Amino acid sequence: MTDTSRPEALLKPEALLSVEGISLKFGGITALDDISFRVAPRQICGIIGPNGAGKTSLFNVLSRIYSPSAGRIRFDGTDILSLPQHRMAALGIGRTFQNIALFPGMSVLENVLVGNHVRMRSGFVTAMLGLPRARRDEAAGRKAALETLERLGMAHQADTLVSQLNFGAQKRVEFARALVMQPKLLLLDEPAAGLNHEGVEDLRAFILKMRDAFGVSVLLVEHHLDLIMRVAEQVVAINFGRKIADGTPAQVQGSEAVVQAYLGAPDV
Amino acid sequence: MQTPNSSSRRIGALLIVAAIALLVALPMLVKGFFLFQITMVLCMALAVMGLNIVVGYGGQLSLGHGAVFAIGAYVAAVGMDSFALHWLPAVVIAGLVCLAFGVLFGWPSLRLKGHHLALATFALALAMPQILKHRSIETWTGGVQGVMVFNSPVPDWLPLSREVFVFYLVLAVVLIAFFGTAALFRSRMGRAIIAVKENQIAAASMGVNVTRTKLATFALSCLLTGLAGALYTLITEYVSPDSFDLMKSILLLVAVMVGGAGTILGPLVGAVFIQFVPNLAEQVSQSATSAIYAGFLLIMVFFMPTGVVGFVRGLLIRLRARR
Repeated sequence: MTDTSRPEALLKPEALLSVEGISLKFGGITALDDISFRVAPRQICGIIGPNGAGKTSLFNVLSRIYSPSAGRIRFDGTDILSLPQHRMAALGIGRTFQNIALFPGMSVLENVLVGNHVRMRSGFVTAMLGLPRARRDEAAGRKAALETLERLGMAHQADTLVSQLNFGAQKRVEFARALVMQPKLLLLDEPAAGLNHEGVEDLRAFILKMRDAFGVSVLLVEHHLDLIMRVAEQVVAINFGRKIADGTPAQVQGSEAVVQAYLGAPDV
Repeated sequence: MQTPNSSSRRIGALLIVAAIALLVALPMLVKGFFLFQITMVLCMALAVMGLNIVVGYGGQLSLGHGAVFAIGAYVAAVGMDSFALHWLPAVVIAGLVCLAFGVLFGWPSLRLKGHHLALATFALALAMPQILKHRSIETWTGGVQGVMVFNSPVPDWLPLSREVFVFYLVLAVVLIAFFGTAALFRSRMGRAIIAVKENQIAAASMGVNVTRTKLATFALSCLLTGLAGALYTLITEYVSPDSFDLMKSILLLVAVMVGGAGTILGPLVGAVFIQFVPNLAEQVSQSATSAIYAGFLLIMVFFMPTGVVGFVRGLLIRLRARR
């Protein structure tokens, strides 16, 4: 799968994720039109755009829920469009969801253990027979899950059922579940949705801390412009499915196309 | 709900050890028909355990586990009768045939979304009695007559009666399945099964292969229910096509729900219900047995919607919270 022989990969080895000419059509409607950008290792990249611009479509393409009609996405040297959704985790792509998608019947620890699925090994037979290999696997998985919870300051809640946690804590469990697999890239779908001003401040600090402590790249799609401008190092702006700006927050904020998109768009 | 703390876990372990000790001593305490009934409860519990894996943990509906039970029962019966197999290989082969059947049957049905598995298994349950009676396989299945299995499974060196031997055999298989299932749902693949039930997209994002997990869930459930069918043949010494109709599948489902879907102990309770409540209803009134049975069922649904085990668990949690 990994073909580093491709010239693009050699030319720009610094890109962890490179999105090349992605288009997405639903019937006759073009949701995304020739979108390209790159994300470097340990970089925080924000995708912004007015309502209906195609942010969520782009996010769903990146997390392999939608398949684009044209274009390529390379992650760490692999063409991810040739792989099914469940292979993304093993490649090193973790994600969180806009409307929290935890496993409600499980404890915090169990949720994080599912996040560790690709790094654990035991199968049906070894587990059911209680073989030492399965026990070791389970012990190592639990240790990793608890360590992740500890680093995020949630170890004391390990045995709590997630449905009993408040909204903010549930969001943090989602982060822990995505981080335990030690991803190289974390996709965050509207992480500030439903948070108040203080919550957004905490989230900003949390994202920066995560990047520094876990060494991940972060790609977030977000409505909350202020958060993006203060947390991202690179911002990609889209409108009507097309990229209209790409650069540092200051560059994008100053772009005329972006100002027009936000002030002139009829459906904001 | 907090996961059980160590002291309540110790009490639980103690209760399980006591229950096992009681079951092991049972043939010395009871004889005859009652022992037979307990053996049947254990056999049904194994079948319900299988269905519980797919319905309770996997979140998929199967209306055809009675048919899987029938396949297990018939493979074992035909193996011992027509092919003069020893009971052990006959039971093992029956289990493996049902496992393979689960893979082949689940493969097309589970790739589709929605209720296709429920519909496909419903069709299977409808067709099974007629398939078993079909003329092309009559030489082995005996058509409407069914198959009798006379040879005793008791080894010569064991001074046990047939009933007691079969009781211990069924108990051993049930215990293995019980502890195996319990261990599974404390492990990586067991959690993957539950994750697929609770949120497929999230599970896939964690690297769980959703299709393969569903298929493995269904196949494993067919293995357990098929083994129960094979043991049923050893218990009753006779299989006939009409004992495996759609009603059998529905009763297994009732047992899953009444016992507590997605709980380890639920199938045991559910099996007791479907085995004894019909008799109880008959004792209450011979003219309205079905209505009384339906009444019991409705009471269960209204007062214990999460099943007996779910109800007791909720009660224990509330008690602990009050302390």
